[in-house]
Order: sequence, then C-alpha cells, then structure tokens
Amino acid sequence: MKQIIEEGAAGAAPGQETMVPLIETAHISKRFGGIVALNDAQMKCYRGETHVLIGENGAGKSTMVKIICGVTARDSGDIYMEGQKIDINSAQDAQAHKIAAVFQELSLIQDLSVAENIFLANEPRNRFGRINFRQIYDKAQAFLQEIGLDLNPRVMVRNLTLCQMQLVEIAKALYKDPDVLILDEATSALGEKEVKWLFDMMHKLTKEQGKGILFISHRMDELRQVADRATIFRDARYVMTFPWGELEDEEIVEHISGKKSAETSLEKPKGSETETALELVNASKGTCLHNLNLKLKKGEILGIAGLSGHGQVELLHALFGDGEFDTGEIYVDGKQVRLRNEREALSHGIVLIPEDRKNDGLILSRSIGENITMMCLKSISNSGVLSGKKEKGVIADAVERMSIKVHSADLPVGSLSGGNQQKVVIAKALSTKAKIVLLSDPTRGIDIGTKTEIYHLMAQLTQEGYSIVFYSTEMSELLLLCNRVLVFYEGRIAAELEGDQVTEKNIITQSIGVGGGTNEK
Amino acid sequence: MRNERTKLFLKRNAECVVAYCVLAVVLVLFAANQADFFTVYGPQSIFNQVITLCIAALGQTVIVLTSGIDLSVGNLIIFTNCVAATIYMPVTNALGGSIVVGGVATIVIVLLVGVLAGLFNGCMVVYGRLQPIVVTLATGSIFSGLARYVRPTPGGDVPSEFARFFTGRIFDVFPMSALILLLAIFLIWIPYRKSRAGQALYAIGGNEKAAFLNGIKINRSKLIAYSIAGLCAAICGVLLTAQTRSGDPTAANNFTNNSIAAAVLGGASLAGGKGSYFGSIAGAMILSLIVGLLIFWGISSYYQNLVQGIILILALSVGFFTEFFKQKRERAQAVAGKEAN
Repeated sequence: MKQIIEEGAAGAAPGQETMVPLIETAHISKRFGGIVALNDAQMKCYRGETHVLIGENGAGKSTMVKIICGVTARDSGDIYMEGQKIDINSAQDAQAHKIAAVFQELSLIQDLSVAENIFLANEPRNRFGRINFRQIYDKAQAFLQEIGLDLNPRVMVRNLTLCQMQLVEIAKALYKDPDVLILDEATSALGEKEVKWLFDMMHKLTKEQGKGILFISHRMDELRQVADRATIFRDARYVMTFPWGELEDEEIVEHISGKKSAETSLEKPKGSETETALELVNASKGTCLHNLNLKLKKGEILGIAGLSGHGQVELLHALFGDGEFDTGEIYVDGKQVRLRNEREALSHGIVLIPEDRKNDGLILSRSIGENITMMCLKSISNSGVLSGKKEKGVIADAVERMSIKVHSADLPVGSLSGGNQQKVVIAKALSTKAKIVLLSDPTRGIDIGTKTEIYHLMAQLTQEGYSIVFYSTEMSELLLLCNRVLVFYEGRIAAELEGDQVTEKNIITQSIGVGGGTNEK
Repeated sequence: MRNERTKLFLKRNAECVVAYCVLAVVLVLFAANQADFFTVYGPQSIFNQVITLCIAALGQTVIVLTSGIDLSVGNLIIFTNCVAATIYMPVTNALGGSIVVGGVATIVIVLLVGVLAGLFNGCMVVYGRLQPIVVTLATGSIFSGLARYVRPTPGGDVPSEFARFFTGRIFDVFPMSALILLLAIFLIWIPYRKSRAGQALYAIGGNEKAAFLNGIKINRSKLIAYSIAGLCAAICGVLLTAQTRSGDPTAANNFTNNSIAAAVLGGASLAGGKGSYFGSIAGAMILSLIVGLLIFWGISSYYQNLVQGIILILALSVGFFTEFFKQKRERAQAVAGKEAN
C-alpha cells in the first residue's frame, strides 16, 4: 500500500491505473440561471496526493469543489469515493463522508469563540444533551497546540485578524480529520509564515497519512510547492489532468487561457499626454492602502491589477468617497479636492461601478428604468417633481446606447441576465455625466458576448473624453485594454507597467510580490 | 491565565455591563425611596414587579438571537392569561375539587397551549418561509382574537391561594417570584444555551449561511426557538393570572415592546447572534422598576413610556459612543503608525 501511495504521490501514471481514486467526479454539469458553471466536467484525486485545480476566474474550479462538499447542488453527474458512488446533497452528507473544506469566503460565526467555531455542530455532549464547554476549550487548546497554531481558543472570532480567522477556518476543517480536504483559495489572507505552516501540514496529511487534498490557488509559486497533479478547467469545461512538472509554465498558461480570439484587435487608448484627469499624491487609508501615487491621464484606461484583496477595491471605493483617505492629496483636473462621501465624488465628476452588482449596483426588485435614473434624478426633474418625459428620454437613450436587450424598461432588473444587468449599472453611472469612471471588476460572471461589448464601449468612452480606472480580476482584460497597469501588492503599488511592459508575466510576478518594485521610492 | 480569561469574559459580555450599571442605579434609588426596602417585603415587591417582563424577555431574547423578532408575545401572554383564568375552576371541579390539582392541571394545559402557539409561529417562519416580523404580527392578531373568544368579557375565577402562592414568599423569606426567575435561568436558559440547539441560535443569528455550511440543522433549531418563546409567553400568562386573578382580553399591554427593549438594553443585537438572557434580565428589571420610581416621585404613570424610551436611547448611546471613540482612536493610531514609518 505504501508503495502505491508513493507512486500516486509522485504522480506516476502506471501505478494509478490500478488504483481506485479517493474521490472522483464524472460528467458534472451545473447551471446558474443562464450561466453554465460546469459542463460535463470531471476530476480524480488519489490518496496521498495534493491535486490542484487550475483555471481562470469562473472556469468552474470553485463550483466543482462546492459540489463535492454539498454546498452547491449539481444538475447532473456522479461522485465516487473509493470507487463507491455516493450521494452528496448537503454539508452534512459531505461531513459524513469525511470531506471537509476551507473556502475563500469565511464561514465563521463572529460572536462565538475560536473553540466554539471549531466544534460548531459537532460539540461533545453529555447524556442530557448539554454541551461540555470545558471539554471544548481543553480539546481545542490541545488541538491547536498539536497542529502548531498559536491561538487562544477563548477569543471571540470578531476580535481576530483576517489572517487568524483563516487559520481558524483551516483548523476547523483539520479537526474533522477529513479524508478529503478541500482548500479553495485558503491562503489568500495568510502571511508567508502561515502559508509555510499550511504547506507543512498538507505534506504531513498527504505523504504520511495518505489523505487527499484538493487545492485551489491563483499563486503559481504556491502551486509549484504543493502540487502533485493538476487538473485544468476552462470555460466551465474539463481540459486535462497532468502530473505536475510535466508541463512548462507557458504550456499551462496556454491551456488555461485557450486560444485567444480576435479580441486582440482593439487599440489600447493611450490617453492625453498633457492633461491629467485625476491624481493621487501620497494617499493612504487605514491598514489597506499605503502611500499611493498615481495619475490618470485624460482619455486613458488605467488598469489596476493584483491578486484580489490587496487594496484594489478599497482604492476604487475611496476614490468614490466611500471611506475617505486618511492622508494624502487628491487632484481632479488639477484642482485639489476632498472626497468625503459619494455626493462629493459625483460633484467632481467621479462615478463608481461597484464590483458587487447585485447588492451595491442595482435594486433588483425595481424596474430597469428606475435603476437607470437612480443617480440622475435631479437632472430629470422640474423643481423637484420628476418629469416623465425627461425620464423616458434618458431611459431610451441608455437602453439604445448600451443595447440592453429588453422588451420593456418597466421590467424588474432582477429578470435580466447578468450581462444585461451589468449594462444597466453602467448606463446608470453614465447618466450622471461624470467623466471619470471607476470600473470595479465589471465583467465578473457575465457572458463572453457582453464582455466584448463592454470592452468596445470602454474604448469608445475614452474617445468621448471619459477617463477610466479599470480594476479587473481577469488579467486578459487588462492586457487587452490597458496601456498602463498598476499592480497592487499588500496595499501598495508594487509596479507601474507601461506599453510593452504590460504582459501577463510581468503582472503575475509583481502581484505575488516577487518582482521588486519599479515604483518604490 | 485566569486573569486573561476574566478579561475575555468581560469583553464578550461588555454589552450587558452597561445594563447592570443602570440597574444598580435604579436599585439604589429604590432603596432610597422605598421605606421597607430592606425588609422581606422589599425584595418580594421588587421581584413581583419585574418577574413577568423578565420571563417575557427570555422568549424574546431567544427569537432575537436567531435574528428574528416576536411581535406576538404580548397577545400570546394575554391569550394564555385568559385561558388560565377561564379554565381554572372548571378544571378544578372536573378533577375532584382540589384547587392544587386544578392549579397544576391548568398550568400544564396553559403551557402546552403556549408551546403549540410558539411552534405554529416557528412553522410559519420555517416552512412558510415568511419573515418572523410578518408572521408574528399576524399571529399576534390571531392570539388576541382567540383571547376574546375564550373570554368575551374581562373576569374569570382564580382562587386567592393561587395568587398568594405565586406572589408570596417561601418560608416567609424568599420571594416566589425570585425563585421563578431562578428556575427560568437554571431550568430553561442555561440548559438551552448549553445545548447544540442553543449554540445553533448564535450560529444562525450570526451568519445563517455559515451555519448552513457547518451542517447546523437550521429548521429544527428555529422550531425549538419559537416553541421555547411560546413556552415563556405562557409562563408569563400564568404569572399574570396569579397577579391579577382574572383574565382581560382587552387589557393594554406593553409586553411586546418592552420585551424587545429589554433584550436590546441587555446587549442583544436585533441583527441576531449577539446577546444573552443575563443581559435581558437587567434590561427587563430596569424597564419594570422605572414605573415604581415614577410612583415614588409622584410623577404620573402616563409618562412611563416617555421615560422608558429615554432610558433605552441613553443606554444604547453608551454602546454607540464607545464604539465611535474606539474607531476614532484606531484610525489615529493607524495614521500615527504610518507617519512613524
């Protein structure tokens, strides 16, 4: 058995044919409304291996692991564990099969202690159903010590740092002593030391105890350290599985991205050489943004890159007055301004298209028209009374300009597809006549066709005098549209890339903090 | 170690500290104004004043912890009160005429009615997928209507022994109301809090999605919570029956509003997942005793609501301002730290 495990671990193909996978999925399909999240996809993970799932955002990796741990219900397909077909329909089912997961979004209860969270729904009880809290704290203490985490089990989760919360989340999964451990972007909030701790732990689990780990991360250097085998997903489909080390990085990237279509024909707007639309000097905010210096040229699309959670979203929100900068100066069209709230930002011609379309961008139950005019009510009213005529005009213009496919602007926005919803958000923002547009991940979860439309729209806007700050989690978009890209790392601008420097490789190196800043003081 | 543990305990229960401080002030004022405060009558009268709201607040706290709200509790109390006042003597006669046996039987029946009413609320929330506020608004009206059906006119026949038993003293020293409060704490709250169902309260209220991801039985936990809320309302109904010796379906009552206020005053968050019955007890005592203070000071009880409202706002502001200044301090520290770099 041990020999087989080692072979499996080394990713040796011959051994595996005779081995039964620890966990296997086949022909899995899943749709969310109109969006296909998984299409006949599969994967296999053997005992003793760390299996990494790779692919772009939205390629289906997360959906796959969420189906395995019963969080998301699959539309079709089968799951096998050690050759036996199993049925997983809920988190409890997954737990019964010894599958445990750590997700990027935390699932901790803020007002319970660390130990209470670790034991949640599995508390030790006496005969009368009374939870033995002393035992919870003692056991948690012993367990945290055993796995080498320096955390006080009595502290409330609310009082922990994000990094510590993620460690608790990992400890919680480990405590279940799972056969299959799923780590979905579980390292995103961890520091270097903690990541090393986790990798040692993973090594112990797979190589010494013969467990299986499914690992998702966007950091290539992490994958290199832990991966035994890898499965690539692209556009909701399974592409291939290979033992790690068999493919060069370039080949992997090629498989991840597929053949890029004719999109590359877009010309990148370079912007004006002389006029600056927006400038930040030494701007800092709390613990998330440090000493930012940036210039947005008039008529340019300034790309903001980096791994998620390194300050990009905070920057865009701060520029829209949603949480003011603590220090630093802001200039709009050369004039120094303050951005204390959203109305102030709007009055200086800055508008934000937020990343969370459904919660921040739209009021789903209200009509398309009402959503479009939400930000420009003043301009469509006569002394405080809304003018139906002006309103209709604005809505009709917006629907036509954005080519929103809809029978009537009176339908609720919630009835539209993701792509069309996003168009409504953009239309709403443009109706304010603000000329500086902050786009925060505008193409998340929308179809390819609409994405392309949005790219063309952005290019066109720059010609009409708009200036755009464009944050995207999809690197290909930045490469396509931006002549200049700022890469964020830990709340700082790690690098400013321009022209030919804007390449996938440069952005990745800078965003994982290994490039050494080109823009440091 | 022990020291640190105490610190963490205080941090966790910081919200109810404010409530207990206010309560201490109120009690001092009571001691100063009430002549027989330090005799056996003092505690007896105080606990008789607070007990009903304390029990009602227990049910409300449980619901608020799940991030729900119970607007039906006041009417459910009235309904159970009317049932108790109406069936007491008929039940006694049917069981042989002993008012002790009759009393026990009446209490059992009334508590059962309360649990069923609570369970009905729970089913509407869980299976009807309706918001607790809507469900309890509607069922509150229903309970009120049922009360009028059971007791078209105020009245009823309740033996004076029953009243004396629940409002008197044990061995002539210990107030019965205080014992009931202790029983509520040690037989209902603590066992519940220390069960998985109790742990689920906090998980569901804190983050229902996370609770789901952790495999918590959400539906079952909610049904239990609403049943316990119903039970508490019924206990309150029984106590009210003992205090008034009658049932009045038209009685104005502030139990719904005051129980919510008590929970909030005691540090519970209406967003759920935060709070404890021990805080709510302090809140309930404050709100009940204020009425007594007004009487001492010769202020018309018409102004009772006004004063209660002001106390609520003031107590909540303490929490708001501490948080406000804490954030301000942290911001200043962050800026200072950056400049030091």
